[in-house]
Amino acid sequence: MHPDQRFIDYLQRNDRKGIAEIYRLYADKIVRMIRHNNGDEADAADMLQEALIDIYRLSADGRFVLTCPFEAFLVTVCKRKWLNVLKKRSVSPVTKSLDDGFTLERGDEAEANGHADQLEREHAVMEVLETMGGKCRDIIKACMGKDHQEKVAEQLGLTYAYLRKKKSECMARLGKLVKAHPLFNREH
Amino acid sequence: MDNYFEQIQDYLDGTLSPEDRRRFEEELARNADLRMETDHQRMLGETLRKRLGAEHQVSALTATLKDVSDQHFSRAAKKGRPGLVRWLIPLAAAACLLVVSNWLGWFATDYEALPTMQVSATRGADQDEHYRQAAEAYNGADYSLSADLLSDLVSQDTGVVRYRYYLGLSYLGNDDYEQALDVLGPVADGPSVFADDARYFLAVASWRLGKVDEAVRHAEKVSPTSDYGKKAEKLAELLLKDLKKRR
Repeated sequence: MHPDQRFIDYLQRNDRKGIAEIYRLYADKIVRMIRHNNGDEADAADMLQEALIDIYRLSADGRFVLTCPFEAFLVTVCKRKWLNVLKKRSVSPVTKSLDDGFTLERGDEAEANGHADQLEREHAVMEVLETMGGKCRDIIKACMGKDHQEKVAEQLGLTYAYLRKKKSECMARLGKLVKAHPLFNREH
Repeated sequence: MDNYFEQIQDYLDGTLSPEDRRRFEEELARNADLRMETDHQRMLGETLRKRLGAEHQVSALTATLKDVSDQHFSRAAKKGRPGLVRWLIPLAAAACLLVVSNWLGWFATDYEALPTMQVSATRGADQDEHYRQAAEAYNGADYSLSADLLSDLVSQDTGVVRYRYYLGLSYLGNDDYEQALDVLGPVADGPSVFADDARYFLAVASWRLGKVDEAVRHAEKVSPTSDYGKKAEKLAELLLKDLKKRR
């Protein structure tokens, strides 16, 4: 575990003082990177906020272990997000200056990319879930809560046997859709 | 692989009998495709549980981040950001356009629009018929009748959240906001799929009763990714502006 794991803890605890430290240490660097690449300060503020929420979601169950400096991870996430924005805006990013202000060790860069890949894969799963039909989506969401499935069935007005059958059908469908997603497809 | 899907879920949920579990694990050891599918489903389950479980904290974290971000960047701006006037002119023009558009009602949001009540066979035949009649009344905007019918269903079976949710919405449709609050409150606090939607409609009912602080609190609890996430955010912004004006 990297000593910068404390920044992850700040996000998990919604620790205002710790979050202010993140901004004090890294916000201006993110601004510089975005400004070098057709963006402005407001874009950088948005990227940073979205990136920190994404990192919180990735680590929300308390099992995420940071294996590189927080700065390397945060920069990588912001960079990928900003490249997506530029793609949507149909602006060619000035890729050679995207790293301006940062010197990442090769090992750190690989670790940061690994974390960012995991984040994007999880994001893809959630995106695919949202594209599913309402009934399947609702059943999956309800079944992934803390309640026992017999209680969930009761709450949804379904029999337990029917809920189990529907859940396995819906999860199988989700599994197929996720496998077809480019982020998962390229692994096979 | 299709034959295995139910077993995979039961295995991952830990609901297989010891004998079935042993058989499944033997098959897992033999069958590489099954192993891969089970791992894939395990990953999906872990991701979904983590991400869905995280959502209730996101609005609080977003508020902190916004606050810290505003403070950080306003401090940076004070150090001297050039060309502020350059931004102010188009911003002012855009603001004027928005005010005029809003005055014309182009962007007006109907915060009280109620969702359609789905009809699906769920319980015993009597209850289904009763529920179908309630849905017909509700979807036809006869909220007094739907409230009566759903009230009967709730008294027969208090465990079905769907009955209580649509009963709350029927009260809302009938402008009976106090009753709507009473019924929707426990639904919003529960773990059902209706919880987020109930939080949104609690916000609407509180707003209509003039309990603006309460309305904001309910609206801010709605998960941003839920069906009413965007509308709740918009409503909270509107109410906060209203509160600022009053103070």
